[in-house]
Amino acid sequence: MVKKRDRLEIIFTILKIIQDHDNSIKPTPLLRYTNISSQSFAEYYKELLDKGFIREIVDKKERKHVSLTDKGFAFLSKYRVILGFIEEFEL
Amino acid sequence: MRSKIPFHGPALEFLGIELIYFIAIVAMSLYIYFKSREIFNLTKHKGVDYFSNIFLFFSLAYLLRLFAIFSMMSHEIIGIDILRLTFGLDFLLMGYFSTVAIIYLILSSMHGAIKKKFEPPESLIHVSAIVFSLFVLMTQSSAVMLMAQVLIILISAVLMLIMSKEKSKTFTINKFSFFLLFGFWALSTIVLMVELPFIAKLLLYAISAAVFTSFFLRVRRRLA
Repeated sequence: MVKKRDRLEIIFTILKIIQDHDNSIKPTPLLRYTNISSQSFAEYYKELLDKGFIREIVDKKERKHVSLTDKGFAFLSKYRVILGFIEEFEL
Repeated sequence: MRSKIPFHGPALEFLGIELIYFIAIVAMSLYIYFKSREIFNLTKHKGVDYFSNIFLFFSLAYLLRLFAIFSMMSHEIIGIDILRLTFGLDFLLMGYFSTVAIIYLILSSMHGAIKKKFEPPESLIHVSAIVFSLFVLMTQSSAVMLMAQVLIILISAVLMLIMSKEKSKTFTINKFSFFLLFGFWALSTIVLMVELPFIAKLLLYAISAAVFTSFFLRVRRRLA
């Protein structure tokens, strides 16, 4: 089982990669940069879509891009605070 | 110890202190709830969910405790015996809110400390607390409520020890401070059942408020 902190770190990594690519990246390179198994990536990807952290945008050439939502940006900016809070209370 | 209703009401001159104490506890608990809820909304982290719910339900339980105290004094203050009118409902809700808070307190302590993932559905938590509070209502005894809640805590502590990942990290000072929240809830229930000297009551309220304040300050430091 993946520990909670690891899970949050993976989420942070995925979101950070999207942000560092001018908030627009295709799913395949995102998977490559994330460096986790494709099965795990699919689970995280779905979770991030469901939670509204990322959204999919299809361009004129029918290519799918991923970008951060406001909630995704909020998570990134509060990541250290979130980790500190979870560690403080051993949650 | 008198456990059957009616409770002993506080002396009228002590009512001001009771009022300040309960309002402070409720205000700090609600602050912790709303601040930690912001983190939960971002992360959907189950541990944070349990943590925030402890304070939501304790705030509701303490609010009802305040109402119970006011009810006891209502005859002297406004000439209407509210206690007689609302006791059943008050007792039922107090049992329910405090039990839900205790269940979340246990889940919050267990989360991350035990080997297996244990995330019971919300409905199960609330149904268990309703059944528990109905049972308590039938007995109409706050002593029974308290003993049953202590039993729940003890069984959970044993389970936590058996299922823990690392025995040395199961009962940390942090986890102990969680259980202090229950400890002071229990003591404030006892205060309603037995007559305590003014100074003892004051001391009890001061320490209890200090425990809540420490949580409040830690949350404020991290999330303000």
